[in-house]
Amino acid sequence: MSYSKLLAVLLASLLMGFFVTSCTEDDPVDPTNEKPAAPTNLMALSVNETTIHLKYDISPSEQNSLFQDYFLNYWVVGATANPMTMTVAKGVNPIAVTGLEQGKVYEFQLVARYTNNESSETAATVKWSPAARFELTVNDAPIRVYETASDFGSGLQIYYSNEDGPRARTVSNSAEWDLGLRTVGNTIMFGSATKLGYNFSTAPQPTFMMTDYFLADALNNVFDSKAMDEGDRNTKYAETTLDLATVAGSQNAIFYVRKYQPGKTRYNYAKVMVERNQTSGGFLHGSTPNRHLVLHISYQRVEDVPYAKTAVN
Amino acid sequence: MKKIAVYSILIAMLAATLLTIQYAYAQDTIKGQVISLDEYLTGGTGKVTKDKAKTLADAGHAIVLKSGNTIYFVYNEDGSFAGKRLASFATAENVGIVGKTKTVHGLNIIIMTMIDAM
Repeated sequence: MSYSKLLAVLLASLLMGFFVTSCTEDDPVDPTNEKPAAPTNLMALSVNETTIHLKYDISPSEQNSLFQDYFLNYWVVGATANPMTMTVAKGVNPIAVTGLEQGKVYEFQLVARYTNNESSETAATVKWSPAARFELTVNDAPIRVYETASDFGSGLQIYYSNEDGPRARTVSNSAEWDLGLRTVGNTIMFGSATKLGYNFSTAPQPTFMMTDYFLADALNNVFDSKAMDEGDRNTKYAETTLDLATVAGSQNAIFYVRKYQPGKTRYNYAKVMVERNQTSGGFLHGSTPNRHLVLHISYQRVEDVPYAKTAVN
Repeated sequence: MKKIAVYSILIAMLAATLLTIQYAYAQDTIKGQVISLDEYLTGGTGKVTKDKAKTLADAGHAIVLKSGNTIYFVYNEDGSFAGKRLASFATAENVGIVGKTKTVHGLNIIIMTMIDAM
């Protein structure tokens, strides 16, 4: 081989070396394109008029060293062009989403993210709307309905718009009853005012309760994944009552309720929790003749928005 | 100002007496309306809005229960004057108070164990 040919081969080898080296150093390739598994079972509860809590089953990929965090997208249903976002650190569960507006239904989508910029291919989703919470009447008193023998009211107006809250009603205000209590013998009948058997001078308007009821320790630690009228739930509302003396266990009872407010043609939805007396184990509190039920209410002030507070399903 | 001072003295006198007598009397349920004593004594019905009743109570004015033609000064079980508690019921058509009733120095008092709208 001539001297010049040897020089050309060496030069070509050197150039090839540069090419290979520059490829590996200037254009690094991620060690993996692996994607995390998605979180699942996203559920919601309304804390108040502006806040929702979201709970989820964590991604199985949380143990992977690539796991970074979760990412929440949410928007008002029908307004997908303006999504809001939130980064959710590992371990934050439930997620508090604030700054929402009552009466608007939001769609939430939660994905998991890896540090390699990959996100889960699917998302956990839920739709929900914040709702008002009432623990006191318009008189700043605990929400109570009293036994039949009491001089105090056995009826409840779930929402009195003039004073923005619930209030107890007596038989003399019968037209304003939504729900009520009737105690006869050992029975504790609670439910639609029209079905309690009182002799009202003016009949109340219909109030519908879902025939299924739910048990929970508190409104704040149970979540729901579907609307109060979704699927077969919509067929289960009726003017009805339940004998609370037959409700076993140690938990509180939660009822789904809907009704037309005066002059309206669309339902307002509420969830009403009857608090169990932890001392006696029953539902009546206090002593005769003023034994009473203690109620907690989540109320959706906006018509036709079937999301209010929480339920176990 | 003079009115507030008179109320304060009356309330203090009553509170001192109440603690010694409160357990000697039976529980009654008194039904009536929550009113402002100022408004009533100046010739009105005494009915005020809830917000005004709260403002008056916070300023030391007497918020009381009127049952028929009887005016009741209402106290909590700990001996404190319950005007602020009553103020929340100012807009209720009727209020029921469960408690012990007594006349002290010519004034009607209730030591309240429970209150609710009726």
